[in-house]
Amino acid sequence: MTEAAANKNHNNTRAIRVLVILSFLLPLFFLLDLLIGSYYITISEILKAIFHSENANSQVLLIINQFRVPKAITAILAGAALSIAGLQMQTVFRNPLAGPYILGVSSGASLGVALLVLGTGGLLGGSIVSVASSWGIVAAAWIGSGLILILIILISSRIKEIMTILILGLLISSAISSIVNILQYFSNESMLKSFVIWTMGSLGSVTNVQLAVLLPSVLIGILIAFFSSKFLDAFLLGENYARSMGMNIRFARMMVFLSTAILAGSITAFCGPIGFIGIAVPHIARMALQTAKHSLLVPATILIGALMMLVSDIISQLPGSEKTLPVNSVTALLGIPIVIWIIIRNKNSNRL
Amino acid sequence: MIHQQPEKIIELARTSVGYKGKAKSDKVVKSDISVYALKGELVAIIGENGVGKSTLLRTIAGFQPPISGDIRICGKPISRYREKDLALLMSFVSTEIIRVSNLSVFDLVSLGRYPHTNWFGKLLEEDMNMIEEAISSVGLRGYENRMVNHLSDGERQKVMIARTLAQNTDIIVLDEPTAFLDLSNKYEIVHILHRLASDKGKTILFSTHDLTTAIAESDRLWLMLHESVEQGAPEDLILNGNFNAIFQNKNIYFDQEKGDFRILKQTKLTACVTGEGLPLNWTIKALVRNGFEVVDSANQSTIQITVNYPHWTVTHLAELLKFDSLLSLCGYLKGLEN
Amino acid sequence: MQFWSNTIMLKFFPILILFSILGLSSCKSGKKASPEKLKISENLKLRNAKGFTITNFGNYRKVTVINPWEQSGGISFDYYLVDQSIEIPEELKGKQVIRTPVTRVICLSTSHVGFLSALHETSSLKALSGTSFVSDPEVQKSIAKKEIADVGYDQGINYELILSLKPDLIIAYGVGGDVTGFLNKLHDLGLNVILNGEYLEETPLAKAEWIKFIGAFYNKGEEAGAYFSTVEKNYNSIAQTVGSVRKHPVVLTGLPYKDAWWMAGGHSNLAALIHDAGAEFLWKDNSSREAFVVSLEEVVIRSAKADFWINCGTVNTIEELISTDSRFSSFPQVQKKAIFNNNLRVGPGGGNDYWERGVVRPDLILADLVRIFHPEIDTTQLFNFYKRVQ
Repeated sequence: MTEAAANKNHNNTRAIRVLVILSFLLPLFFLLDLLIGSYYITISEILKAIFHSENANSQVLLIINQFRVPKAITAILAGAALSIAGLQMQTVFRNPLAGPYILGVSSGASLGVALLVLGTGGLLGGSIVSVASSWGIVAAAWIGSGLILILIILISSRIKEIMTILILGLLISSAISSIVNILQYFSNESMLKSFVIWTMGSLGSVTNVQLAVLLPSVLIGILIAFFSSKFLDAFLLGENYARSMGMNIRFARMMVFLSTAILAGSITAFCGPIGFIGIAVPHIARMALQTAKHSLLVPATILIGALMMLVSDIISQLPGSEKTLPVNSVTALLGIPIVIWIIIRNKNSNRL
Repeated sequence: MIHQQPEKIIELARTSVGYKGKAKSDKVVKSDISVYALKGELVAIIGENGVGKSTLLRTIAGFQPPISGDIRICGKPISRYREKDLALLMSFVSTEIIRVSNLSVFDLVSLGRYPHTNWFGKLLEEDMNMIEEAISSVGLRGYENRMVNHLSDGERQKVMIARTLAQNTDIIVLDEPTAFLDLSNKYEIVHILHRLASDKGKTILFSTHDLTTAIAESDRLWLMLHESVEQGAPEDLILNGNFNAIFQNKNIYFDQEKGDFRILKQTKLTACVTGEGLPLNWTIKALVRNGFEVVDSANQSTIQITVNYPHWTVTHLAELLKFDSLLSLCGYLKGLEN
Repeated sequence: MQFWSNTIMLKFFPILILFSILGLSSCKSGKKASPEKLKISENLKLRNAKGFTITNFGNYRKVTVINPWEQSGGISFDYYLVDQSIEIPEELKGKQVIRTPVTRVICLSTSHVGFLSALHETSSLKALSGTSFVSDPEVQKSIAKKEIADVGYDQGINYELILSLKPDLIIAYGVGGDVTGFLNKLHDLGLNVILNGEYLEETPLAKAEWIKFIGAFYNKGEEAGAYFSTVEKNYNSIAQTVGSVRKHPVVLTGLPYKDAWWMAGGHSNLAALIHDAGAEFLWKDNSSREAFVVSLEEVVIRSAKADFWINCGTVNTIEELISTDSRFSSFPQVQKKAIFNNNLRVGPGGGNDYWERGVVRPDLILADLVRIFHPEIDTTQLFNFYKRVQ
């Protein structure tokens, strides 16, 4: 192998080393998340519950299998999905502050849920259903974000300039938020409370049955992102260069938007909107791996995103107390300092 | 001996370029362009600012469609090519400054292999070799792991060119590749382009403001004037007077003897200069710069200057003065005008 | 609760005597009584409610509402009630005077309707916030006939509509200090608005006693007093029937929002009702009056020993319950079908009578709870507000 190739491997080695370390940390934090909760459960009890369930205490089994394991898995999926979506948005729009919700996916989902929970508020009467089943909320959120995805794809095929698409996405987001505000304005306290709690995000309300739907959705989204690694690398230089290198811009955009909508939409549907993770994690990944190649960044973002979400969940459990924090606040408090740091760093030299 | 018609790699025939608007509100930037470039030529597009060089280049590169007429690449209109096939034939370098952090020189150059690699972008040995060669060709061997953002402007430009080399196309189109570069880098870049055309047989098309280099290095020029686009060897276009039509400003003219552009200056005073060789030439240049018309005989002027490097003697009316530098001489002369 | 009113009585008694003497003597001498010098002939005896007092000055009554919103830090509002037939006394110049009886009333909460209905004064109701949530049949009829308007909520309140209805009285409630802005706005419009702090009372009887507060504005003080006495007697006798039971079933309440369970406070009305019905609230050790968040896990662990689950949101069937979170199927109460919800009487608009009539008739709620927790005592299984969730 030539000297240059050997040099190149040096760069990759660092990235691979980081990936290996992250892969070891993940199961560790997974276990830690299983340990933390209101009920005091020891590691041996957890292992017994997973591997020798016949021998375990039934209450412990219930808590672990029905509550902690699905919550931990949801945390991993949410962290990974939102981070990958954020990574793609940052690359395609060449904007370091882009995130998974920039296309309006989260607003669409919140409109769907708002219509279900708040109804048309005081305007036309009470909500559509008296009891919002958890599947109902998921469906409403998905339909909402699905409609936005269709809108974005329509716009994207008409508009050439990617910056225009970004601005339109932001404007659509704002418009929908205003509609949601109107619905909230006309609602009474209990409906409002229900809706507001949804907007705070929660990992613990996803059951194993729901995971059976969430898991494949997230996997599909991640798979598409992985297959788009080549597109994403080309997008780094901008769409003009990408086109000159033979990339089909329309197709590439569609793959990326589809993946983002599936990832962000699914997580928002099941967990409510969870912010900041999608913006902060891709930057951590880029910094840790010192590379811009997406074939390395995608797995790194998945691992770091999952870890960050597990950490957020652990913190939100407020170990040692009966109370809990809404997960959205924790991700914000963790993510905002990182975002601030990005902005300060960018003042000096680079972008993205 | 059979004289083979050389292949027209890029050809425009009565093509118009500009921006397509809605329903007949197209903005035509340049119409009726008929030019071409042959295989292995280094072609420079020159013209005044705003005359449409970038628009023409971007249309050739396939970023925007022509308003009317086609652009044929290797005989086939651009619109008939699939993106991937066009990318195998033609690569492009724009004026945009790429700012991506954590991107190494190697990784950026390797992007050039895009049309050659599989869906995942996996680099095989052949790809690696091409990338290395490309990096060496532009003189950046050893820079593979450096971050592109930490390079100087000249180095970064070379990296972008290396990328096109890795893309391994027969045609390379560059928009102002030497803008913002100092002379040394300018020379290096043009030299690389020249070698690519002459040694590797690539067709290189680039736009530039640097007329001197364009004249000195190009095989063919596309001269974008205000009414038409002319083509030919630089010398052809100089001899047939087209160069004078480049700038609309009446005060700029092309000196066909010296081979450069000059600015007409209002001359106020005259001076007669005697001397020899280089010191004489440069003294005359300094006088012209200060708005003096240089005359041959002493009768035509009240100012006589004798050059005896490193001394100058000035006789003006009754005064006789000596100077040790052109700077002080000119300072005195400026005082005379008042 | 008893303790507080006793203290008032103890402290005020000597002063009462003193002032009565002074007042009487000044009255005899023909001098005018100064504003706050009392001539108390009858002071309202409040046994439970802490949030208001009514003082009788002969030709007018002073109603004081104390701490009408959370953490209001001792703020109180005085309302002076003067009968229509009398001229407003001089000393009340500049104070908030309300002419009684009121004939045109706007209520900003449907819980106030319960009081009006008990006093047979629903005909005075001209507007409400949230007309679709009313349960009272008379009021519903009037709403259908467009005789009662909907003035909206909180920030979205329709001031113009309120003004156009020319109310004698607007009964409002405050959740936080920002309500003063809203009150001032209505004052500026020349309208009489009073704050009802009934929802802050800690026990159901204290809440119900506010009928006397409302009654004062209709000159129905006696009627209100009698009504309340009956309710109180009923309530206490029902409580007595479970006074000597040995077994106190453990009770879980509420429903989570996603994975945060808002649990009733240990000193809340619900907790008091559960205790009075001879049962034990799962979080009886908690010391707050308001609801607080518990993690889902914590509830799962504690509720393993609960015998009953009541007040679970708006669910009607076990299927609906499980649809909000499938993990409820493992709850013992679900498996034993020991779930009761207080939504037996929910109107088509979504309004629950539990929060309307239930406020003024806590004895009926208590009876329901005793039926649930101690079926051996009351075997009729005729519920007022509750139903079994199956």
